[in-house]
Amino acid sequence: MVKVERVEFDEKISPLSPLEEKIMEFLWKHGPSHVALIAEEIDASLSSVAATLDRLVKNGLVERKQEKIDGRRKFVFYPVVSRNELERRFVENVLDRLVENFGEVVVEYFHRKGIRK
Amino acid sequence: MNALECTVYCLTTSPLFLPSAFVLIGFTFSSAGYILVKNSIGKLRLYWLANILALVNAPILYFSMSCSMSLFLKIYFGYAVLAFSILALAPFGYRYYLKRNYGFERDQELEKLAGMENVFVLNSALPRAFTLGKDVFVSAGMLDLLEERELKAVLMHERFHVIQNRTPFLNRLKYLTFLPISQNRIEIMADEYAEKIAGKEALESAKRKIEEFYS
Repeated sequence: MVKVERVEFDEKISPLSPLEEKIMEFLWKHGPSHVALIAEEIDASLSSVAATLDRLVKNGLVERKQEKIDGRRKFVFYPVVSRNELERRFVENVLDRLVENFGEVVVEYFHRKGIRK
Repeated sequence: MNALECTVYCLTTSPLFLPSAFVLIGFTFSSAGYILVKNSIGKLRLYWLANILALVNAPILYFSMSCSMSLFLKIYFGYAVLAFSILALAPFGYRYYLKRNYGFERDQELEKLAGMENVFVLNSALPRAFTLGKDVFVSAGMLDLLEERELKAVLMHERFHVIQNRTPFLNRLKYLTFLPISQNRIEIMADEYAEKIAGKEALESAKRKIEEFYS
């Protein structure tokens, strides 16, 4: 299960930080990519992209694959979760926590909105 | 009269009692300040102040303990045991942290290049290399960034640290004698060692690449 801890309520709710969002967006579009290419395309520093990729790998959204080019080891990163899947997990996680903490209020709300399981 | 009572007696009857207490309180406050203050310049000033006060206090305490050398020795011995057990355990703690947060595995290709056993690849995209005890860690980001000759220079730098750690007791003796070589000096020695084996050019270009990555 992906850890989706961060909930930002200011402008839009997202399971990803702005930089994570940019990196995932790029990976979903272009597939397996090298750190230097990602950094160049989204116009961010190498070190911040690398640190963010480490976090995405740890959270299970991205995986790393080793490639051999001229005997040199290179690494490419690719997403292992689709945008739909990430959004589904995030919404479920938020709702689970709402139900855990305010069960009755949440159920009552869905009844009022006319949504029944 | 036991050693502690004797020391307290010596200290309270000594004409040095008031200045000593004053210095000790100052030292305690500046040490606490050093830990609590967030501002780095403030931290540095409090660190200096704590050091100066500790230095002033040392002879005062020493003379007040002149009737009871055994307590002085006990405190020193206690410090030695504590310092050595923390130093012995720290690498294991850090290893556990790395395993949990990144993960690592042994890498035979690098072991061959370095001519060493126990070389690990750390699963991190940031270029990093360091030594824990006799184990060398090189991150995937480092493999990705450097060419083989530059990688060899980095590995040789780490090999110096492995050699330096080969005698853990001798290496840690500085915490007992209070005569440490600065870490900076050790890094320069490690660089000189790496230059001799892998070549100055390889080391310089590795350093340049790493610096560029983090800039």
